[in-house]
Amino acid sequence: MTTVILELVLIIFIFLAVTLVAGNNLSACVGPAVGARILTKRAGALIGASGFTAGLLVQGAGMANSINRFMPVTSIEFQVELLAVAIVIFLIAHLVRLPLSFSMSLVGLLAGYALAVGSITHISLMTRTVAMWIIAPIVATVLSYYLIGYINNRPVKDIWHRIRTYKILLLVLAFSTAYVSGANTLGLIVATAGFNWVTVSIAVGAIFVGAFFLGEGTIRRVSEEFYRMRYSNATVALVASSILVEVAALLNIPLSNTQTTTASVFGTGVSYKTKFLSLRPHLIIVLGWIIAPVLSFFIGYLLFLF
Amino acid sequence: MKNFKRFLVIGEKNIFGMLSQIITIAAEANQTLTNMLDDHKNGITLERGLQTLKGLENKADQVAFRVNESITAGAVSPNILDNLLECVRVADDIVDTYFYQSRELTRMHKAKFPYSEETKDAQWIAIFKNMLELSKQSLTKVQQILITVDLRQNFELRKEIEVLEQKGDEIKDKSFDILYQEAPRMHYLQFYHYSELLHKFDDILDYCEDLSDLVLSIITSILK
Repeated sequence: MTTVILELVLIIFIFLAVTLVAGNNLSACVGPAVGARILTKRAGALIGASGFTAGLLVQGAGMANSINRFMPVTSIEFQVELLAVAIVIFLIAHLVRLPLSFSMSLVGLLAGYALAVGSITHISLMTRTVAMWIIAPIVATVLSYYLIGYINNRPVKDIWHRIRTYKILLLVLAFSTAYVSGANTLGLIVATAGFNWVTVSIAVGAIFVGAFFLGEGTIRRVSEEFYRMRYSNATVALVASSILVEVAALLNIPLSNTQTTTASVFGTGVSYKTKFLSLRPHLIIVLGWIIAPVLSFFIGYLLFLF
Repeated sequence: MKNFKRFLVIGEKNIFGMLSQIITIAAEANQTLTNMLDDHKNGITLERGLQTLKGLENKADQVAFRVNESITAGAVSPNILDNLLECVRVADDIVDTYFYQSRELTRMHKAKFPYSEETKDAQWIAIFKNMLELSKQSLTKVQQILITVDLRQNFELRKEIEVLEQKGDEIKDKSFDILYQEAPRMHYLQFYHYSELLHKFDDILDYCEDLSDLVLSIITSILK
């Protein structure tokens, strides 16, 4: 009886976690296309949700390998606790307006648990994950910096042809960014509870609920504020982000697409000779990248002890 | 398929196409005002010209309203919305200025105010026609800027428009020198009339330059 209740609670938590993450990440994926008014908010939500779903179904199972290496032996109680804590951390961060990554928080919890269990085999994956979190934003910044410079220095033969190309690219990238996010972050959440048809079905439903009921408001805000940038910048930021998150997904390393997107946006910004960049929001985001895994790591460690 | 085709439509390109309609109206207004100056002593010609320009001004207003609607509702990057709306305002101001000039000419004619000597009068008309010729050239180049797809050509056209504006400035300055020299032998209303016309003809060239700057700034902003 208790197991059945716990399974039900686990399913509810998967639904909640995926809904929150899909709603939150949607803006980073389709925000530029909606902000550039290539897509309506509703069409953006549909493309984003389709991308999340495709990524989760095609590549999401890969994240189960990472979860299995962190938690070779686990219990349903711990799975419930893990998702509950991750959701609470995410919501608290959201309330205090600190941008925290759900995947970073989840991995921090898992790593804390793994260390408390005393398993040494997880160290290599932990090292690779931390290395990826440090390297990916740096690579995203450098890649965007040079890519935007290269594009802007190319002579424009046909103004409208280039703008049409940007618009088509932004549409394709809206899907591909959502796809890699589905494969990586959403795959990680579903894998936490076990990658099976029940959890995947629940997650797919949650993706659409999150995209349409939580995502549209964020899209409006993000597309009007954060992504109010040029076609070329938005294109380059999404290209760099998609590539890096996909590479991470192929290596079964959890990587937040908001981390790579933010770094890419910064890279495109600093590439201009004349720039008026406010460093404060970037520093707050970087602070979030440190706080989320470290705080979660300690909570994960304490969860095992108590 | 219909939705896909609609997606491929470039909002900015459409807006420029609609803006070029206002410039076409401005070129027509330029020709009408030139005709009025050619026959500036004929009240019927002046009245007919005034009515034509009134019609053109209304037409330009309607197009401007439609363009503004397209800008605010269309697939246009929010970064350039303000600049595009400013473009429409400037283009519409060009046509408005032609209408204002025609009113001024007609009003002065109706006042039966004794102009200064015939030769001097002809001299002023020649100056105004000269400025209208520069405006005609400038409008043609603005039209080209709005339809060309080559960014380098856009920069060249913008320079040519700037040169025309500078020529207009020189003509205006020299004309003001003449006007101030003749001022003691003029009625203040005559002085005001010529002064106003000079300023407004120069404004048209300024608007053309402003418009080309705005268009280039928009293109650069969405490309780089």
